[in-house]
Order: sequence, then structure tokens, then C-alpha cells
Amino acid sequence: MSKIQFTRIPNRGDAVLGDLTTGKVVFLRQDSFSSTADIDNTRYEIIGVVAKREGKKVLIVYKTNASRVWSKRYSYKLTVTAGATSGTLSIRQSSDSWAENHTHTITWTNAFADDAEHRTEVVAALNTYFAANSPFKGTEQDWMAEVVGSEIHLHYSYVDWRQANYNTASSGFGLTANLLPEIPAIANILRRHGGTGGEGVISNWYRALAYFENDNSSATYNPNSDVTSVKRTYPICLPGYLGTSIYQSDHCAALRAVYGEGREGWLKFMASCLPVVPSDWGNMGMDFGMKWTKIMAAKRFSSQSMTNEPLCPAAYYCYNTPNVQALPVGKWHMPTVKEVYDILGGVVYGTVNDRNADILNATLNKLGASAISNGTHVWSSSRYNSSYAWFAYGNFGFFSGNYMCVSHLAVPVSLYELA
Amino acid sequence: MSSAKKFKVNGVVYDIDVNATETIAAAQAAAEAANAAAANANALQQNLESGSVVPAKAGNLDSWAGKTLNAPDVQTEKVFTTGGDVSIDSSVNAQIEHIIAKTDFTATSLLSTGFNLLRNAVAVGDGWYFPVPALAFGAINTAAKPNGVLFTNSEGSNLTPTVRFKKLSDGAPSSVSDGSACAYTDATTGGKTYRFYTTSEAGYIIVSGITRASVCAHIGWSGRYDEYKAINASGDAGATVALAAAITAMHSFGKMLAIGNIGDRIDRIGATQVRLTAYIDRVQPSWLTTLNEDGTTYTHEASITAMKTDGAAAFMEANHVLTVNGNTVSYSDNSSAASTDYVKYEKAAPVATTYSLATDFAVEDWGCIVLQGASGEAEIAIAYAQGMPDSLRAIAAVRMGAAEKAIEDADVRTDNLESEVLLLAGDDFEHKYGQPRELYAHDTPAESRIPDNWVQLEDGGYNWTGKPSALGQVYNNVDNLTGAGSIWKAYKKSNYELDWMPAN
Repeated sequence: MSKIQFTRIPNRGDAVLGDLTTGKVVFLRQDSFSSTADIDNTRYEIIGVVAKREGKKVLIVYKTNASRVWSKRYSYKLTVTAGATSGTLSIRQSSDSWAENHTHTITWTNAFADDAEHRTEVVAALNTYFAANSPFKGTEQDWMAEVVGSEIHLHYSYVDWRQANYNTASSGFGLTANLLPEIPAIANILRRHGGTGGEGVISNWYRALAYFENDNSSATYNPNSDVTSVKRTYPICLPGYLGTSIYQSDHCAALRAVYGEGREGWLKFMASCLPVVPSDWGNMGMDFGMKWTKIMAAKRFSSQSMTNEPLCPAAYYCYNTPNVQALPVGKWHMPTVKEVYDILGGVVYGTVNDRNADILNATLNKLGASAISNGTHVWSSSRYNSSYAWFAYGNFGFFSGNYMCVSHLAVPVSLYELA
Repeated sequence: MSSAKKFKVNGVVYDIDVNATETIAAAQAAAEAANAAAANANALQQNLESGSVVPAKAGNLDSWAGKTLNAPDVQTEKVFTTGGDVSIDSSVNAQIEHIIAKTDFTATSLLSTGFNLLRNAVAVGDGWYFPVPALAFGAINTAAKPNGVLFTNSEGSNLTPTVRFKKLSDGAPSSVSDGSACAYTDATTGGKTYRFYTTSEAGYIIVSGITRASVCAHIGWSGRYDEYKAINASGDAGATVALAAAITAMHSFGKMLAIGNIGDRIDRIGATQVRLTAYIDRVQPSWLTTLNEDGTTYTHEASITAMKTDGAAAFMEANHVLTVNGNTVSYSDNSSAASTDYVKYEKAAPVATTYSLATDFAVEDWGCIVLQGASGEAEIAIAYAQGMPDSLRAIAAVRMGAAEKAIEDADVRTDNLESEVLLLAGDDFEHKYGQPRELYAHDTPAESRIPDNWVQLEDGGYNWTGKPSALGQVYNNVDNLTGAGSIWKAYKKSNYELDWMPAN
């Protein structure tokens, strides 16, 4: 057993343990142990690893993670035209691989008026229709209608992005996306070059370089017109930057005039696509991970078969999974965009196939914990828009939004404040 | 104190360069002299085999440090034995561990005695033989001579192996059946019966049917008078021999005893629990200063000083110096006679000298010092070696561990301090998120007018957008600090952006 050393002020890669005798969190220097064999498991419980410390705030990554969908349901607010006795839903369904909208008209007896009685009547008519007709049935999309206060809400099993994109209503019905309105949707991250906007800001330097080093046919990453501003939403591939792409002619002379020629200039340009972190605004300034996770973890939904399930599995996992005494349930959350960046920014494992390629994964490896690859898609707790949530795009190494019905890695984190 | 002195031990005269100031050089010289003495002792042993002197070998002791012996016990008519085996590396030097004594006590003499005759016995067939003087059994507590050879096991219990005797004049034994069956007398002492093998003259005891490593053969001393005889030829209690003298003149075999001015010899050391096998070699008595020419009297200024007034010997840990009231002693007898095994010095005028325990008392493998109080209820003091190196190693290991722990703690503190410094290296009173909290610029905020102290991308920062980089930031138009709109403060316009608000 080697001589382990604890530190009062931890840094990235230090192991996080719980002292079972005091119930307190302690930090083990990453260079003072080589495996769990060095740790007295009768005295200490393994919690995870330090991703970052800012002053007294320590971002701790839990020892395990798992792939989960952000939301199992999609939700609308339904409006009904006054006096209407029917309404039409036009929805996608799996039977044709979500290719076309299919129209369904639901009827009821009394001309609609916006009151409780009429809302109840419409909801009853909807649920009757849903229970009887494909693809609304519980065994398919499991549509449900509910009266919530003075509103009518619809929700269904969210399994394909085209549901959110193409479902519509007409002829007496109107639909407004209404998924987790408590979580603000923000898509704005300042890059170092001064530009802002949504997806495209680099989340992992190594992955971004590995991907954009190669020629790319997409005009998004290989401009097909002259670039006139340094404020680029997305990175540009190296051949595109150099004007040597087989897909485009040279449109990046202006950028090269700023950052320089050759690969060295491109690297400077790529560095300008990194986020400005920390910040007091935008996604990198949102530090409400715990608040949002609590809201999402508490959300449940009813199905036609009367089951009652967590609505947001990723948040639910992050909030409820950690099972350690020193940082019990209630201390963990799903990371914000900034926290995902704090975790993933320096990860080398993935582009280098070695669990010890970076200090965070090396410690996770020594602890026998789950790896975090820079090629993995990692969910954040931040909404992007009505249908998307932010995630680190493991293919490209930048932040992006994705449909909440998709499974990505849910990584429990805890913000621990040093004494 | 001077050098180039002669002294005589066991009938052998040594030329010794003595310096009583006890410098390291002197100690080294003493060690060299001890080596010479050892060489002479080996030569002597060769002689012993010719029958002139009993071989003088003894062995190790288990620790008796701190134990108290009662004089009444040792005054009873018991035969206490030396014997047994312990495993000690013969190259490890013994050192005195500590000395205790608390009675009103004045040590006046010392005696060394006791040996395991089997220790250096000569193998013959499946047995061994060793030379002996004439050994006649006498009544316990009365005879003024040794009572024969007895054999004991590691518990001090009697053994009766096959024992034969061969006269010196008949030459060394050539087999275990050589010579004739050895005479013996069975006698009970201290509640135990022992078999004392006796001989009519000097010769060889041949023993077989034993496992030599677990058996001790030794002279059985029969009582107080024997022991006084060993100390003082007159047999008188109160014979005076300097403690220091006797310590340093430690016999080349056996243990060492101090004889008080009224007390009896304390002979419990080397008794049942104690097993002896390894050598003990005499250390050169560096304090010997004069030697009369007839070879019978030594005069020296005793090395041990500052015997405490209550009689206790003091062990000064700081410099490993034992200080005892020393006395000038005179040599009065030696062990050249085959029937005795002792070296004796008699006390003369007290003097005070200091010498080093670490060197002057060094014995090979083990050693002991027994001090007897004047009242007869002796406190015992032990010089002891066994396990000392391991003990020292253990102490060193503990201290090394403590040192390593201290280093680790220091590392952690350093790490923490470094971390604190790193904390200060980021945001500080002047910067937030890498940009100045107070911007100095010209005109109103605009993307086209980069503040003078803004850190642009090419300088390691990030590009100015015309908007604040952090809440709390202040934009100062240095060209007009007093006019309206010259100072701006950052505010959060929305979740999407910060903006400037005029502060004046």
C-alpha cells in the first residue's frame, strides 16, 4: 500500500473520497495512489474525481455515468377554437418510418367555450380517441390529454425527432410546444473571437482538432462563400481554412490574414472558437444545474396504462443515482453546459485510446470508475430550445443541441464548497 | 595518563598503549588491543587443549534488565547454572543498555565466571570433547572449589548424557568411546538434582548422545565460599576489588558479578532462564597504568567515575559514559591455575575517571553487570546486548517513519499553499474572467473602440465585442471622466447578454 496524500485544496484529477468516520468529503492527490488497493475501503468510500476547482467551488464528477434520454415525453399546450366541436391533429408515426403526417379529427358534443367544463369535455373526447386509435394508443405513442389549471396539455411518448418537428394541429386545434417551460431555453455562447450564437462552440479541443483536421464537404464547416468576419459559428476544417479543400475554392483568405497561414494559423483560428469561460451570461453563465435538475428529476408523467414514471431519465439518474454517504442524494445534479465544458474540455481519452491519456480519466481508471471519452455525447441540463437540449457533440468536439428523445451520457456532478 | 603499559591476564602479559582520557583514538586502540587479546586468547585456547588452562568461553544472556534479585535467594545453597543456546550473530557487539540500582550500595568487586564448555568443544565421532581441570565434588556451600561438570538443558534442568573422561597425558580423544566412564556425584540443590561429573586430574570430558546446540556443560560452583574464593583468596566477605577494574577485566568467559562489601555473590544471572553459547571476549582494560615487574600486581586508576552517592551507577545516555566511583585496584590473583577461573583486582585508593560504555565495555555478543548493594538486598544492573541492533533498527524505523510523515505533511502544506497562490493567479481584485474589472477607453462603448487595457485574443484574452465581459465591470471614458455618459457599468440585459448602463 503506497502512501496516499490528501489535499485540502484539490485540483483536476484528484480523487474524491468520503471519510466514513467523519462523513466528510476528502480529496486524495491523484499522484499519491495507483489504485483502489491503496485506499482503505473500511475508512473511505470512493465518490469520484475533481473536474475543476474555481476558488472554493469544486466540481466533482461521480464515479459512474450512464446513457439516458433527456425526456421520455413531448408536450404541447393545446388551444381550442371557441365554438368548435372538433379539432384535427396531424402527426407522424412509425408505421411509415415517420415520413408523412397523418390526420386525425377528434369530435365532441358541445361548442367549445374556454371554461373548465368544456375543457374537461374536450380532454375526455381526446383521451377516448387516443385509447382507441393508432398510433395514439398506449401501446404506441401513448398520447394523453390533461387539464392543467386553465390549460389543456397533450403529451406523448417521445421517440423520434420528427414528432417534435412535424406534428401540427388545425381545424379547431392549435399546438404550442410546452416541454419543461420551467427550464429556460438559452442558446448563446460567447466565443473567444467575439462571436456568439448557438451550437458550434468547441467543447473538446482534441476531438475538434481530430475531426476538423480533415476535409469536409459540408458548407457549414467548409465555407462556400468568402468569410468576412472572424465571428464564426462553427469551426472550419483545415483544408477549407487553407483553401486547399477538394470541395470548395478558397474562401478563408480573410481569416488567414488574421490568424496566419498554414496549420499554425488554423490552430489559432480554432482556438478562437473556444468558449469564453466563465461568464456572467449565456449558457456559460448559467449556474442553475442543481435547480434545473431538481425540477426535472421530480417530474413524472402518467400514461394510458396508469404508470407513473420519471419524465426526465437523464436528470433523474444524475440526481438519484449517487450512493455515497459523504455526498448523498440531493447533492448531485446534471451538469450545465459550462460544467460539461469543465469536465470534457481537457479530456484526451477518446482521440487517444488510453484510459490514462488525461488526468481526469486516469483517476477514474484508478478508481475503477466509468470513463468519459471525448467522443461521447454528453447531456447538459440546459435547454437549447423547445425541442433541444444542449449536449457535447462527441463526433465533432463542439456543443450542439439535440432532440430530447435521444440517449446521451448522463454524468452526475456535485458542486462542493470547500470550507 | 600515559601509554605503553603492560598488564597480565590469565597469566599472559600484554603490551597496551593506554590513554585514560578515553578519546576515540584510545577506544580504537583499545579495540585493537582487544583484538590482540582475542588472538592471544585463541592461542591460549590452544594451550588449554594441552591441559594448562580451562577453555574460557561463555555466551549470551536474555535480558534481565530492570529485574530485582533478592540477596537472600542467592545466599541459599543453590547451584546456579549457566547454560543453553540462543541465536545471536557472533559479530554483533554487545552494549550496555542501562544500569539501575537504588539501594544504599557500594560495589567493591566484580567477578566474571560461568561458561558453556560445549561451546567450543571439539567434535569427535557423534560427540564432543573439551578439556577440564581436576574436578572434585564437595559439599554444597562448603567446598572451596568447583564441584564438577554438569549438563543442563535450556531450562536449566539436569541432563545425563553419555560422559567419558580421558586424561591429558593420554592425548586428545579420538572417539566418543575413548577414555573411561566419567565419575559423577548426584546432588540436590535448589530443589533439583544434578549430576556432577568429576575428574581426578586435568583431562578431557567426552560427551555424546546430546544435541549440542541445546545443551550446556559448565562448572558447578557449590556455594558462597566458592564464590568468595573466586573473588578473594582469603574467602573473606568484604574483599574489595574495584568495580571498574573487574568490569573491564571481565573474564574471557562467563558472566561478571559485582560483589558488595558485605554481600554475597549474586549468582542468579545465568540461571535457569539464561542460555549461553556465544563468545564473550574481554575488552582491553585501558585504564591499566602500571604493572610491577614481578607480574603479580597491577595498579591502575579506575576508569569509572562518579558513582552516585547512593551507590547507583549512572548511565549517561547522551555520551554513553558510565561514571562510577573508581578505585585504584591491585591485582591479586589470576586464572593461571587450572583449578580456578577468575581474574581479581583489589581496591586501592579511590580515583575518578571516565570511560566510555560504548567502547570500554564492549563485549562480543553479550555482557552483563550485576551490582550488589551493601545491605545484601541487591538491585541488579544489567549490561545486555541481545536484540540491541534490532531494537535500534526498530527505533530508527520509527523515527524514519515519523520523518517521512513530516515530509508528507510538508508536501501537502506546500501543495495547499501553491493552490492558494494559483487561486490568486486567476480572478483577482483587478481582473474577472481574464479581463480588467475597470476598463479605460475612449469615447462611448463600441465594438470598434477597444479599451486600452482590454486583453485581445492575440494577447491571450478574447476579442472585445463592445459589451461587458462580466458583471461589475466599469467602462471609463478616460477622455471625459466628468461628463455625462463618461462612466458605464455592466448590467445583465438578459440571459443572452450583458450591456452597459450609464453611471453618471
